[in-house]
Amino acid sequence: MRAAGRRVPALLVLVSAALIVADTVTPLEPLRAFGSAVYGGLQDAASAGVRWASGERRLEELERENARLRAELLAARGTTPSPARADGYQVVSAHVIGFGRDGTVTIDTGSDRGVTRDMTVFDGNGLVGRILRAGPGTATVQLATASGASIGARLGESREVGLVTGVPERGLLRLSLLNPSAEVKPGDRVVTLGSRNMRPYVPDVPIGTVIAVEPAPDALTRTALVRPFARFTALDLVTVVLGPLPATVGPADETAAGASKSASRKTSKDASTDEKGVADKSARTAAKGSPEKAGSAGTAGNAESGEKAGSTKKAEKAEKAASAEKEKKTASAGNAEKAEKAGSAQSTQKAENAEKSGETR
Amino acid sequence: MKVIVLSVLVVLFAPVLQVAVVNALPLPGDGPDIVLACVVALAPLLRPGAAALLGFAAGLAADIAPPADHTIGRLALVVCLAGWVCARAAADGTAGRRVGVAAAAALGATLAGGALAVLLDGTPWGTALAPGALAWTTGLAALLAAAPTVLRRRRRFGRVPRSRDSYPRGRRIA
Repeated sequence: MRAAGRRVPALLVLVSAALIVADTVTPLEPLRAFGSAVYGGLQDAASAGVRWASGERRLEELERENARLRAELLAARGTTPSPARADGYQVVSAHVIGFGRDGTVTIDTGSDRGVTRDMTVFDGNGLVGRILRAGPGTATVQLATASGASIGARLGESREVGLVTGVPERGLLRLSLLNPSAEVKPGDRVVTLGSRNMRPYVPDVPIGTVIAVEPAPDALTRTALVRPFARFTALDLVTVVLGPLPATVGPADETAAGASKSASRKTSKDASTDEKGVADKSARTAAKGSPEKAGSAGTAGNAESGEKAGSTKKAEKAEKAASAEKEKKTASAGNAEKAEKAGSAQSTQKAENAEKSGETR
Repeated sequence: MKVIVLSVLVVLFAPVLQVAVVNALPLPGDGPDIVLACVVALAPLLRPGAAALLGFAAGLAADIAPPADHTIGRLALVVCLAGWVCARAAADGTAGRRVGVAAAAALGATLAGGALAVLLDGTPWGTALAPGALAWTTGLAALLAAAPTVLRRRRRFGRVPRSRDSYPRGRRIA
């Protein structure tokens, strides 16, 4: 009896330790899928019961329509070229039914309605986050403020490109601009940059406003604190972007979906191609507006590429790690520094690209 | 028997209650950890082995219940140990000792869980060891551990009114 009283706990502790090691080495997705099937269903039932009790069928219809209109508005506002520029997005609305402690929430829409991982989630105020994983009837959303999240962003007015990461303790976001001499001031709007194939983020979703510019520690990037538009502690109705409307894309849709699947694994490659497009655009605007600016960007790019050529590979690796599936684990404490490093490397790339495209013109 | 039913209910519904209700409340700090508090309060009513099993199951449930996005096994380890320690330390004690042990175990387990969160998942210290969550969890654990005694006392009170001797004091160490 005594011996059994000690053997059971010892065995269970060993099992827990084994689970931790196994999940660190290779994420235990089947176990998580089981969890979301069982507990997702319970959460869904609980929240559905509450909503049924308050008789909100009509409200739900209105909510769905509202979500669709909001998505159309978002698409119409878009200025970055994207396959769905004029035709809106295919969206699905969802309720937030559970709040986690890891910078995540559960929504009551899952793979049965087409939600899969790496889809943009936003609400009436602004960007909420992206789908982390989808169960049968529920999905987990990683909030923009989560410690593992990093989002491509740009300043609303100047179109400067940067990277937004979470400051989870204070519920704020940190924007690292790739151009160290970019002008940023409190009150500037920050919107998403948009990823290729619109996954994980569609372009031009408002993220927040700059509230303070941080003193530059290394003069390679420029960082600012951003207050998000979305109220992450009081989320309710959100909208998930499934993709472009199928009617406009037609047969290309399937190939796009396939490409996005493979692309989501190679996010760093994506990011660099993204950068290229962006850089082209910024070069164009620069050439239109002020030739000095383009010139200075070019020289800055040269100097930087000379200095930081060695660290470019490293930073790329860091970025890849950061955007890998288990980003939190690899990019743990040094996340901010890594992101900054990645930022400097990208700015090098961007400046180089800008220079190139300037030459060809 | 009643305890077993309660254990199953805790494993099934405590994680749901946590994410769907408690975390959504606008509490100062982070709110209590329902799973840990329930396990720590139930453990003295079970044998140490069973308490450890309850802790493991409830912790694992909290590890895999949907919005969770941390290393699986983190809470299972901590809550399992908390349940076992509680069952061993408080099984033969008075009600006061049970409450004290439950509060201490909840505090220790929250601290240990926070440290593991920092080590395994790179959570910043500020969020991993939020003072609000520590205080809430400890308080709730103490409250739940005291609940059976308080309820029994009231029932006893109704049956034998004005009898001061019938207070259940728990078993004294003879």
